[in-house]
Amino acid sequence: MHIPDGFLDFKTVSGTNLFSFLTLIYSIKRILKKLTPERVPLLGIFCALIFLIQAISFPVPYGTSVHLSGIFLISLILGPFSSFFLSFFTLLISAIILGHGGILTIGANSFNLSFIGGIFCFYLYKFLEKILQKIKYFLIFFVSFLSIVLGSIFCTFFLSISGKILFSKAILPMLFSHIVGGIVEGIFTCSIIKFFEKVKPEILKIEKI
Amino acid sequence: MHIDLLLSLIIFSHGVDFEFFENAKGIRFFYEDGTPLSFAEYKIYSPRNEIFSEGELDKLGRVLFLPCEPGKWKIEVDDGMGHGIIKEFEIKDIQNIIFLKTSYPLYLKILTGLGIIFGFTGIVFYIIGRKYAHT
Repeated sequence: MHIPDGFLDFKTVSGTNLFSFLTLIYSIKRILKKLTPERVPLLGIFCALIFLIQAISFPVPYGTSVHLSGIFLISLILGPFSSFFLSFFTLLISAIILGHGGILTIGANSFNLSFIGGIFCFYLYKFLEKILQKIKYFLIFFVSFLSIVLGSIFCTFFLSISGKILFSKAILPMLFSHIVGGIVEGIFTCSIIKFFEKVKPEILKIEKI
Repeated sequence: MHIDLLLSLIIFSHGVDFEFFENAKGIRFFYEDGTPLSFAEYKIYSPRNEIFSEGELDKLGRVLFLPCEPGKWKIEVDDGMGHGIIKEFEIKDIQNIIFLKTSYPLYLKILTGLGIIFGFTGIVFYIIGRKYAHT
């Protein structure tokens, strides 16, 4: 889902960058309003966690590789806008240091990963949580899974409207590889939340920004 | 050249890396008058008779490939206009292949990224801490 530079056309790059930069500015404003010295190290540690797990890819069938995202997990712990900001920052560093994704395509990549995983999935989870309170872990698993699969659908969509691939041809291999990634992501998110509930439950009670 | 390679790394997607190799086997195809078979289609078969490589020759009618086992290899070339050739050839030695790694190892890149993140966190922590100390 890290689209490299040169893979998207001008209209897609400008549209996604505009959307992502406006969301970034709003996120920074929201974070700065309530930023305390105690919250800063947490932001740093979770930013490092996203960077680390996104840097390590694992092979899946169809001859490709996927990686975990961890963005929905961070939004559950720190909140949707903190998650968006950290993910955007991580994408920038990944593009410069690791060569994962591009600089100009950061808008599209942050839409696929940060907006879908961090903001959309957080509010979707909050909505579903009100209706289905009894199956909390299944919901976390399902929304984590969805954050990866939806991101991959949008990634295919952006590439197809830029004329790089045919949506109808590319969507199946893309979905197949990311369904595997989504299942692993779901298990990972549930495990970390369960771990924090047992070992350090107060971390889950931090104000969600 | 090293700077070019470093910059070109940035355009790649996740999990895609590369290394140059030397000692590849090269074959050039040309018509009897010396004109190269530019962009003609080719298929290379391994000694097990499986397709090992396929694609188009370059502008000068050449193809480079790196055999993975010794034995009798076969190449088919077809220019799409009724001209072509099927040629068998023997590969005896595949030992002297040199790979030239061009990028830093992943762990070094990850450490650099983590260093930047924690450094940036430290700066923000210092600024916010000072602001809170004054208020």
